[in-house]
Amino acid sequence: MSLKHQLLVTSTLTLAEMKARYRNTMAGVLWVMLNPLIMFSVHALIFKYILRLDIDRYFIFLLSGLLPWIFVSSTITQSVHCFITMRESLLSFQIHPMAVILSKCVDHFINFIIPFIFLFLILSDSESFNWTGIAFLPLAFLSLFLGVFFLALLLSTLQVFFRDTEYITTFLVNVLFFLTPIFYPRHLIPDEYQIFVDINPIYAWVQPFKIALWKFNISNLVEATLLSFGFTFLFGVMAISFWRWTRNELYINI
Amino acid sequence: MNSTSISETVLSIKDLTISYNFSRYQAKGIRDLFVSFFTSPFNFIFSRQQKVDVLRDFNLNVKKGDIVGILGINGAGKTTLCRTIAGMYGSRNEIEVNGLLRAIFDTASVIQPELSGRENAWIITNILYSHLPKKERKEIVEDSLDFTELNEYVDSPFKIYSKGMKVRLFLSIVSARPCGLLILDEVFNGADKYFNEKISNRIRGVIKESGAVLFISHSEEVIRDICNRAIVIGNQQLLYDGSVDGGIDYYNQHFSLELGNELQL
Repeated sequence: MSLKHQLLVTSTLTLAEMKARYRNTMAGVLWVMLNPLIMFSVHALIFKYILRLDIDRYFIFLLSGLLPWIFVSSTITQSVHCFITMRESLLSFQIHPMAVILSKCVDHFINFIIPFIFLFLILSDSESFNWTGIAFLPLAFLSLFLGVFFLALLLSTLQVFFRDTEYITTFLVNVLFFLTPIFYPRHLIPDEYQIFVDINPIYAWVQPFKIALWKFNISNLVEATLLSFGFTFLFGVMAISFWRWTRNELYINI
Repeated sequence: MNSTSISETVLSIKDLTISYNFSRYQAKGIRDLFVSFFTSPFNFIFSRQQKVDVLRDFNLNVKKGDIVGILGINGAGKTTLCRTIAGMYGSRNEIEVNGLLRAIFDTASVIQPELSGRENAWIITNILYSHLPKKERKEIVEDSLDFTELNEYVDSPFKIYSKGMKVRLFLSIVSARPCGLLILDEVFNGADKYFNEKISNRIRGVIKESGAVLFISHSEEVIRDICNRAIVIGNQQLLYDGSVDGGIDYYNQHFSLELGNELQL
């Protein structure tokens, strides 16, 4: 089946997933906006007005960190078991399993990018942004999307063979939320623990957004973007290698 | 092989071996890995992978007009062979398919139970007929929904459908257009007697128009009725390849009688 046909299958699965999720809900497709906006508002309320974290341009800081984080965590936790839940369809039709993962990623990416643009437009009224930084955003989005796709592919393939991957992933995502400087700045982490931030791929994917929107510096941005693509490449190699290695047994185990 | 016969060959399989890594076949947890590592690190690291052969050095040539009934006991590798041909286990150099391939392995599948029958019909059509333009896909959906006779139920959620209703919808879409190589795995199960007769005629029509067909069934009657060639798979090999009557006789002599007609051929 050609790439064009696979893209039609992927877009069909994405639309079906989105329609099914918001069917019979009161707010319907508005949940795409509501969920990240509520998370954004709650974080802003707690950390800016209750805990009074002293961070310059905190709303921009939160926009550039929290929303990409929500995309990463929701995509990973909801796609890790998708080969198992889509078992019937995968065994019945010639659907490429990667199309299933890709459709999940596109679905969550749409849920991420709409509120991101919405909040960006609202904040751009009161805040100033560097246009060179904004020009780098497509690269940041691309690296983030591909990185999350490869990570989701790796984890969902692992889940087929090791059924506790799902529980470990959920646990790690919850832990990483507090260990990754998303809602607090990196300098609050003691020097001896900075190494854990350096090897944290999610931080690497989020960092270009932070530098592009929050504290722009061109050399830091180029470095962060390259590091982000480096992690994406690493996960790409790992995911594709594991996929090819286990492909024959995948259908038997799902 | 001359140029005419090459163009008439729809499926060519040469020396195909399908094997599974038995250790990976047993789904387990990461905890089990730790336990086996600490219980016996030497065995964990140096134990040889256990391979299970499903098919070994398998050869098959299917020409245009062949309607091949595939016979074999459960676990012989019939579905595995067809899924491999369909590319579901990755592309294999040993298999060459000329023309468009369509494969169906379950006639009661659900894509999105929350969505209506009509919406699921669109999804299945987009998956099965992704090569066709949107206008033709729309015709397939409308025609298939009419054919199902599900009437007002087509706009009800798929999750409330009975198995028979799902089969009606699914088979109506599957049988909407012919293709180069059609693979049908036990497609006549699940529908009621009235619809079975109706859909059987439609599927027979598609089979006749398709380039070639691989047909898996445990029903002797259906194989005799539809196929013009039969193969028997067993012991990881192609045991018989020839006429339908000869294939059924071979199967009955070597398997069914041995198993006390357990397989209800």
